Amino acid sequence: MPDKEKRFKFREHTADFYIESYGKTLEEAFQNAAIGLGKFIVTSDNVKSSIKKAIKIEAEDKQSLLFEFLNKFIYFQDAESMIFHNIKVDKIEHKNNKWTLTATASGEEFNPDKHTEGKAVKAVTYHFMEIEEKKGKYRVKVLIDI
Amino acid sequence: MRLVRTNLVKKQAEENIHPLLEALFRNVPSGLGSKGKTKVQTQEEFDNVLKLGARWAVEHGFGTEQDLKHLEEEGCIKVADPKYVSPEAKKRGMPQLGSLGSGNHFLEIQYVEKIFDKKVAKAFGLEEGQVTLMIHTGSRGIGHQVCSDYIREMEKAYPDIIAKLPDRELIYAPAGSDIAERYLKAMSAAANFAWCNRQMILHWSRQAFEEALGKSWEDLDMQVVYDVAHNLAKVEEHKIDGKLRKVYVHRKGATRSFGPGRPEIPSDYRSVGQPVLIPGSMGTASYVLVGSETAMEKTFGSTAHGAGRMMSRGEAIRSYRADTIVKELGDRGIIIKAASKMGIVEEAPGAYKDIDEVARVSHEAGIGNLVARLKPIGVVKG
Repeated sequence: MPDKEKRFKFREHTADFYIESYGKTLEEAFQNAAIGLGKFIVTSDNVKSSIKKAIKIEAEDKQSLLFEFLNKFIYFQDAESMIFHNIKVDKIEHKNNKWTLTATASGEEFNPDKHTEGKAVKAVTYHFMEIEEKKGKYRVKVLIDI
Repeated sequence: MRLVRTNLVKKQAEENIHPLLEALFRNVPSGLGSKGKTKVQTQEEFDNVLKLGARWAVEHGFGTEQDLKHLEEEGCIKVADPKYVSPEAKKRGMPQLGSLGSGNHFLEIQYVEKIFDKKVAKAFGLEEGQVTLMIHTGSRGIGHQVCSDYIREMEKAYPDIIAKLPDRELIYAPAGSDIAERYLKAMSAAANFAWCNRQMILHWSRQAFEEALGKSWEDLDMQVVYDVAHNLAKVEEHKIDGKLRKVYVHRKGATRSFGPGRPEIPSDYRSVGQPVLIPGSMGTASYVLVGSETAMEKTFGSTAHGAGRMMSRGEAIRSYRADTIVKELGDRGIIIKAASKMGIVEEAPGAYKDIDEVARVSHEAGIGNLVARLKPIGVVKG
């Protein structure tokens, strides 16, 4: 199921799904993974950008940065019933042995009468996770527990 | 996983299956973003849910004291401590209390199609032709968040362990460490959430039967047969090399299967062994087994909890159509009511391993012995 700009794909690994996302920068690849996650939860293209969230993540390496970043959206899904399809990763920095990510996400509350339900996501996992850079192109693979 | 019996016979459920499923669907919130009907308003109150489990539900009018006697741990692991559950995990759990969820979670109206062991079946209150209700849902978001939180904490605390592992997801904390203790208390709190949730769902299911059939749940004899977790770590005593020792037993995709005599088993089942509940996938049989002495000796009192997937979700989506599955099951006398079409396709009966084979192997290995086979009549899917 590639999306139209081939920013991400949903793929399969044994019984589970994983998201494979792409970008010219690490920021873009992370951002597309998060958009992929949002479009996994709600498949229709009618999620409005009515509520805006500023996101800041700190972690010890790239993998844990991705783990915590995506886990935020699962938290929003469960705790606030919020769905995000409009996500921008502004910056990923690596300084003093610490990785930080800043992003903004816009979305709205899930409405079963309006939105097409995909699948609720329970967790992001490290299992199978890959963050690769080849010739200036980034690719992220992340397995989601549903 | 919880099994409830009734005094209805198969024909009575079949004749009323549509009103029954409608009433269950109306009474028990399910599907993506489903929120519990009973909102716990404060953090303090939610902490009480995590501390007391199913007891909290009974104290708030959901079911009876008698129900608690037939739950593993009486629906409350006492070491649970909400103070070790993160605010994020609690916020994921609060709105979900009192809802079924989505994915492979379901409510199923079944009938006892075959009895394999009359004596044990009688002790569990089961007989051929009788209608039962199965409630399959777990700790939902709070359980997953507790897991994610502690994975993060453990990997920061033990980089040397991570370095030796093939996969970061396999991180652990050494037994006896402070993190291990806190994790156990937090995981137990999430398990208590699940028991509380199933107790609330039982209450609304009883109301649904009352609405659909115009009889009280007591008149319908809707009693809990048993309720057992299938993803939980606990401290238990087991005999190792002839000596009784305290060990952590983690059953993941497995279920407890304690043999006769163990003090953890409800007194009215203790002489025969613990009821073991093995759910089938949508539209296939489920099994009731009984725990055994062999399981105590060979598998720390455990057996398999169900049929794992044979086909990936994506493959199932490509291979099946929701309408066809609903029709085929309908032709076999099984009615489905689901929150989403995609959910039906993913859980297609053909996507799972053969449950009959799982139960047979458990029986022949002697780690969970056949008692009864249950066949579905109607399913409400999250």
